[in-house]
Amino acid sequence: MFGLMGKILRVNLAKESILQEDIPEDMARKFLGGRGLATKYLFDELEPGADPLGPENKLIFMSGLLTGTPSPSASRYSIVTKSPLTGIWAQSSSGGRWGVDLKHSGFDGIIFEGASEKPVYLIIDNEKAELRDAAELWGKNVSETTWLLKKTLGNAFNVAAIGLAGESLVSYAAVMNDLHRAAGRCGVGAVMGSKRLKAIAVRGSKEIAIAQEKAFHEVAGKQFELLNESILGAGLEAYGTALVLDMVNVCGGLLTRNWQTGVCSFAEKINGESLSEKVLVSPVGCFSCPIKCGRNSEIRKGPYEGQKGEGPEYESIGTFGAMCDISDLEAITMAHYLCNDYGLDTISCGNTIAFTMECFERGILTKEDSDGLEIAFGNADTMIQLVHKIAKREGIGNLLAEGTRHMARRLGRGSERFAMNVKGLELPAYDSRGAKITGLAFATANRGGDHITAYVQAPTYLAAPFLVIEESEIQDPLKENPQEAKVVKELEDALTVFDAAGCCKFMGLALDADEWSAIVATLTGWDFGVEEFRKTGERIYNLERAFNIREGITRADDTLPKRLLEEPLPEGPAEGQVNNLEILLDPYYEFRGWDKDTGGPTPEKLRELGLEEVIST
Amino acid sequence: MYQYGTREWDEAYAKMIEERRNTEQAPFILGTPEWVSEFEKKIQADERYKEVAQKWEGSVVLVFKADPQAGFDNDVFLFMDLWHGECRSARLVPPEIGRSGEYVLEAEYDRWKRILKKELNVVKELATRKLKLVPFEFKKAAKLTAAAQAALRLVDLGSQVGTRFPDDVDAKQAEAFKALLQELKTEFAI
Repeated sequence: MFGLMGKILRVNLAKESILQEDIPEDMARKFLGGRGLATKYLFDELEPGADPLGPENKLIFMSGLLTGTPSPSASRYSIVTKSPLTGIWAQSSSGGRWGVDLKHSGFDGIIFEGASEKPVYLIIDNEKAELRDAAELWGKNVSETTWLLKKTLGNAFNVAAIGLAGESLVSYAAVMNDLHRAAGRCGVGAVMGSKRLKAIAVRGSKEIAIAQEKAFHEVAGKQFELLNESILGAGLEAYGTALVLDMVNVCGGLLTRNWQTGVCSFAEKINGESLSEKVLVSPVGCFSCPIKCGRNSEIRKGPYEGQKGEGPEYESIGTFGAMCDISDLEAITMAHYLCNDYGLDTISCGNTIAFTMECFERGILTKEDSDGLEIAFGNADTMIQLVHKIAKREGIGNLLAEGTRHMARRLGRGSERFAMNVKGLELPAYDSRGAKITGLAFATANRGGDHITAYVQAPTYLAAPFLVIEESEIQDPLKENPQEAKVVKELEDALTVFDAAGCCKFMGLALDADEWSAIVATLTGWDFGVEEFRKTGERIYNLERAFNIREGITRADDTLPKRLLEEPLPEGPAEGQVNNLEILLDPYYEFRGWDKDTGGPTPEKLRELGLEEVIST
Repeated sequence: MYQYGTREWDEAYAKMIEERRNTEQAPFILGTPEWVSEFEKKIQADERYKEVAQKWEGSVVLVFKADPQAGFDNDVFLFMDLWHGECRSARLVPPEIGRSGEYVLEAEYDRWKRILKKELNVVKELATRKLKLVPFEFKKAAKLTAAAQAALRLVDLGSQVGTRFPDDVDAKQAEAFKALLQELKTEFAI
C-alpha cells in the first residue's frame, strides 16, 4: 500500500498480547488514516454505552495518511476513543514528530484494549513491539518520564506519555509527545491512565512508499513555495498563534473574566508581541512544517525565572490570561508549562479555573470549600496552585478535575449558566457572541465545544479566508445568516480530511483543495480529486456523528451555554449581542442532509456516503 | 514641475484638489486626487478604523499597475501615512516616493476595482499573492497579517467612497481622465 504502512498493532493490556493486523485498502480509501481510520475502528468495535474509563473502552492512536512524508506539515497523529469528559466520541490530534516516528516504526496505528493490572509502557522498535513494566515511571510527570525512557532506550526513541493528571484520571488529561506537544482535548490522557499505560516509545526507519514519486515531490515542492511567501504563514511564525489575540480583542470577543465581557483591557500585555518580547527564545516547527508557529520559550523574570519549555499558545493565553483576568504573562506561561508536564488540556484547565473564580465571586464556592485558598479573578498565584491541585486531585482540585459541566451539576445555584462548555467540553478562547457563526460551530462540533473542528474563527475574527473550501466568506460576523451555515458544514468536512491526512489545519488557509487532492493522489496512486476529497471528509464526519447518536446525543445537545444565548455582551464592538442559535441550526442540518428533529444523519445520507453498515446500528 | 517634498508641491496639490472638488462631478473617478481626498476624509473620520488600527505603524502604498485600457498609462501610487489608527495623509505620489513606502501593495487595476467593489476579499488576495507585498519581507508580511481587520476596514471605507471607475465612464470623461493623469505626471511627477 502507498502512503500508509498498511499495518496496525492491536495491544490487549489485560492479556498482555500484541497482534499485527493489515489495514484493508478499501477501508483506507474510504477513511484515509488518522482521525478517519481510527473512528472507523472505534465505531465498529466499541459497544454503545461503554464506560470511558472501563477496560472495555478502546484507545486508538493513528498517524495520518500523509504523516511522515515530505508534504507540508505532515506530522500529525490522532487519538480516538470515548471521552470521560463528554461521554461521546473523542478525538485529539498532535504534531511534533512522534506520529512520524510511529509510522516509520512500521505501523500506522495502535489499538489499545483492556486494562493492565500494573503500570506498563509499550516500546515499538522497527516493527518489533513489546510491553514493559512501568513501575519506575508511574508517579512521574511527562518530562521525567520522557528523559528516563530516553536514558534507558536511547535518544532515538520518541515518547508519548501521560503525567500525573492522566494517572489520577483528571477528566481533561492530555497525552503529551515530544515533551511539549499535546493531544490535549477530551481527556484522552485519562483513558490512557485508566489502562495503566504510562507511555509509548517508538523508533523506526521504515520508508513510506510513494506511488508517483516525481509527481509527488513536484506537488509538495510547489506547496512549500506557496507557503514560504504566505502572509499568514509569516504572521504565525513571527508571533505564534498568539498572533490572533489582538484580532479577537478588537472584535470584542476576547472572553474576559469567564466570558463576562469580550473586551480585555490588558491585551497588549499578553499578545503576540508581548510574548515575543518577554518569553520567546525561537520559533519551533513540527516535522516538515514551513511555518513554525510553536514557541521555544523561557521565563526571564519573576518567581518562575529560569523555567523553560514551549509555548504558550493562544488558547493557553486566552484561558489562563483573559478568562482568569490575569495579565502576568510569566504566570500564564508557567501555568502552561505545568499543564504540559502534568499532561493537562490547557483549554479545559484554564476554563475550569475561570469558572471556579466566578463561583467564588458569586458566593457559590467559599474558602471553606477550598482549603482556605482565596480564589479570585486576577490572582495568578492561586491559578498556579490550582493547576497543581487539579493534576493531583488534591482538595478542591478533586472537584475541578471533573470539568465545568460536572462541577455545575454538583454545585447548582445557577452555575450552569456560566459553565462554558458544550457537551461537556470546555469552550476555546473566542466568544461566539462576537462572531455568530462560531456559535454554530461550537454547538455542532462532534467532539463538543471546539474551535478547530470548523475553525470558522479564521474568516470571522481573523479576517482570513480558508482557501480549502470554495467560499468561506462571512459577510457580517454579527448577523446570523442562515446561508452561511454552509460554511461551517464545508469547513467541518474539509478539516476532517486534514486530521485524517495528518496535516495541520493552518495549511487549509493557504492551500486549496486542488492542491491537497493532488498530493493525496500522487502519494497513493488513487484517482483522488476534489470531489472525493470533500466526500471523504463528509463520510468521516457523518460516521462520528452516528457514533454520538448511538451514544444518545440529540439535537437538544447541539446548543450553547446560557450565558452565550441569553446574556448580551456588555461593551465593545459586539455590545448587546447574544447567540441566536436556532436561526442557524435548521439550515445547518439541511446542508448536512440530516434529520432536523434528531440532529442525526438520515439513512439516505449514510447510503450516499457509503456508510450502509451504520444504518442498522 | 513641482518638486515632491517641497512646500510648493504640497500647496499646489492641495489647491488642485480644492479646485477639482468644486468643479468635478461626484462621485469622483478612482485614481483622481479628489477621489483620494474623499478616501482620506473617510478614514480620518472613522472611529472603527481608529480602533482596529490602533497598533498599526507605517505607510501603506497601493500601486495600481499600468493598464492603458483603463486609462492608466503608468503605475499610479496612492500613499497613505498611517499611524496608530490615524490617517495623517493619503495622496498620490511620484513613483520613487511610492516605492519607498513601508508596505507597498501592488495589483492590477482590475483587481483593485473588484476589491473596492467588494467582489474580492482583500485578505484572500494577499494570502494568494494576487495582491503582492513588494518586496516580500517576512517581518512586514507578519505585521500585515496581524492587521487584517484594519485592512478590511480600509476596504470598507474605500467602498463607501462613491466611485466611478475610469473604464466605465463615457469616452469624453475617459479622455479627461487621461489628460488629468498626464497633467499630474507633468506638474507633480506623479
